[in-house]
Amino acid sequence: MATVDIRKVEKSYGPAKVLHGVDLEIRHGEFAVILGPSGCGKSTLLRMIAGLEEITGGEIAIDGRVVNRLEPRERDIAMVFQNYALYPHMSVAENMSYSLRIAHAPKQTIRDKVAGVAGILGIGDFLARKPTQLSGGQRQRVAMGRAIIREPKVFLFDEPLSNLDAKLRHQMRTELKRLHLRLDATSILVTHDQVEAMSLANRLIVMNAGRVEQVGTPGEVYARPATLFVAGFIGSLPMNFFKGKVADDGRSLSLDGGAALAGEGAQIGPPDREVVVGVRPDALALAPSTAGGLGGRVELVEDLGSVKLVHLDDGRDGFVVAAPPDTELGEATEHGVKVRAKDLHLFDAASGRRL
Amino acid sequence: MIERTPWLDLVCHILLIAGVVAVCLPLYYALIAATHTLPDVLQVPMPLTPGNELWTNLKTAMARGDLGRQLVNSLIVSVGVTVGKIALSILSAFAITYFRFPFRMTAFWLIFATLMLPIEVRIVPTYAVAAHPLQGLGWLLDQTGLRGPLESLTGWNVEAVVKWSLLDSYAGLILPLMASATATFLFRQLFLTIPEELLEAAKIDGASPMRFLIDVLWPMSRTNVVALTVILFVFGWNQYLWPLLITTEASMTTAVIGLSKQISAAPEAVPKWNTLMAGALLITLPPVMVVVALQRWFVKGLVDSEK
Ligand SMILES: Nc1ncnc2c1ncn2[C@@H]1O[C@H](COP(=O)(O)OP(=O)(O)OP(=O)(O)O)[C@@H](O)[C@H]1O
Ligand SMILES: [Mg+2]
Repeated sequence: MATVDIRKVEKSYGPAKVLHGVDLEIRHGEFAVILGPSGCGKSTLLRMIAGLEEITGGEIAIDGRVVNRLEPRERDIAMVFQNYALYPHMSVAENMSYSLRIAHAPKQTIRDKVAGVAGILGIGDFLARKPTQLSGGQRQRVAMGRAIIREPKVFLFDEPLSNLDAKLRHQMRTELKRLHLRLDATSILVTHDQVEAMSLANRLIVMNAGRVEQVGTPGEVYARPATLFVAGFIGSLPMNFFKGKVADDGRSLSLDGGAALAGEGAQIGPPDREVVVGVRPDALALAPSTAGGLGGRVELVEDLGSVKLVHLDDGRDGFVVAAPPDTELGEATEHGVKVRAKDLHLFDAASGRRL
Repeated sequence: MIERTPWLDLVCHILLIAGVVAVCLPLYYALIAATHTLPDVLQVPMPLTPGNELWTNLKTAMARGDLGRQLVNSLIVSVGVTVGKIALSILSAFAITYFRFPFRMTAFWLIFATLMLPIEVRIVPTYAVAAHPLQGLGWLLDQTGLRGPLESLTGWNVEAVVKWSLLDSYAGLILPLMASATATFLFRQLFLTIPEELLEAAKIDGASPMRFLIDVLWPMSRTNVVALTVILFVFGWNQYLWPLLITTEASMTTAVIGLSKQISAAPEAVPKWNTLMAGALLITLPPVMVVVALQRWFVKGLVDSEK
């Protein structure tokens, strides 16, 4: 049973602080994915768990044991690097068995384990080859094999799929997930690719600028983004944002620019509050334009085949509606949009937190 | 790309051929001289075709002036310098590149500075040190007044220790030639090109620093090591000034020195050019063999690492 507890972990490089107190609890068997934009500190956090980076403040415990002062090899973890970091002069079998050979495992054990892992990953045919004689996907498998063979408590992956082409990435993604289930392991993966993150994670950790913004299942994070940042970051189509104000009775919204959104009778938010309203493009539907309603002039249309993205100019920042593919639109015509109150995400304008 | 530059080609070829002649003609002369009797060699002009005295001359050369012993000495010195230099420089480069310790950069620049101090420049102080490496210790014991107590307490003869000398010893021949900034620098540059993830992967795999050096860095440095071996072996073999200075006993003389001593041995007599040249041929043989033996590895290493 391997858990990873991260308590108030901070990291500074000299005067520059890159992690501002991260708190996380990763349970046994979880596939935790840390998602965030470039430079937000996700690799740093992962490398601190691995023991490759000193912990400036706070505590990291693996399986209940504080590992702050332990060497990587004493932490019972394995790591897969983005560029695989295979030993170029060793064969595939030697690469995979290096940790066992260092630990002076019996020759027969090593041979059996290599054969076993190679079987799981389908790389049995090129055990004698050098890394340079392998394709990217095969190298990726060897790197995973090198991690699996040690049967660690925790697997750490730093963008393991980002050097693969799109098709292979998809294939390896499913394979990674299958492997995780099969090994009954605890895995932590770092990525900036949200599709990868959503598909692999059973716990998604969204980070921004050295802080954890939200932790939850991919579904939760998508349905109820906790902050403006998460709302804007998650989702294949960027969310539309409008500035506005909740009315005194808390049942309707007036957006900057004059449009009003009604709460269909229910409480929509705290009364008299400056807010940012987020709506996903696919929660909006085109409708005849109405006075005082949300709408705009068609600016351009992106036809993606499965969906048409209609960019409407509302005289302010503009917004996007995901319309069914058979929608026919005249150029520069005026359209209104309909939205259900439950599809509105309200964020406090000052703090950016969900209301 | 095909270029037609006949004049440039011609000039280049003339220059190259001139270069080849300049290098090969002396060698050819040596070879020819080694195959004739002394009177034949001393004719003017010297014969330009091979004679049939080569075997006799080689045998005489081997017998005269203890060349066999000297070749062994040369071999010990060259191998010692080569192995020592590579071991020392790979370790120091490893320390400088992979460890954080106080005055790390100072250490690096100190090593780097010695690049400008080959043995010829520092030969006098180096000789003084080699003559009595522990003299400083004796001075220190005298100054602190510890010599008397130490001698009476332990029964050691401090004087004998202080008088210990590296003159006329293999250590004296090898050690001062071993410290090498060039090789350290070369390995450091190589290590800097090795991705950091490799070190991290090794750390996670549980490798200690020494294991990492032996299992990862050393195999990855093979090409460099082979190239350095060639260069350093020849460097050690061809040492002249230092062995000349530090050896006085005939039994410790190296082959190069032995040969030159034969030339100047009897100033009034005519040097025996035919056997001297035969000896010269014998002396050039080991470096040539090293180059020939290692060049295959050298090329292989280059081809392997290119991928
Ligand atoms: N050795 C270092 N010295 C100083 N600053 C560093 C160092 N390593 C990382 N940083 C800084 O720490 C921050 C976080 O880096 P990190 O590598 O964790 O980002 P990341 O989230 O993994 O980004 P990416 O997706 O681009 O890999 C960055 O702003 C980076 O500039
Ligand atoms: Mg990163």
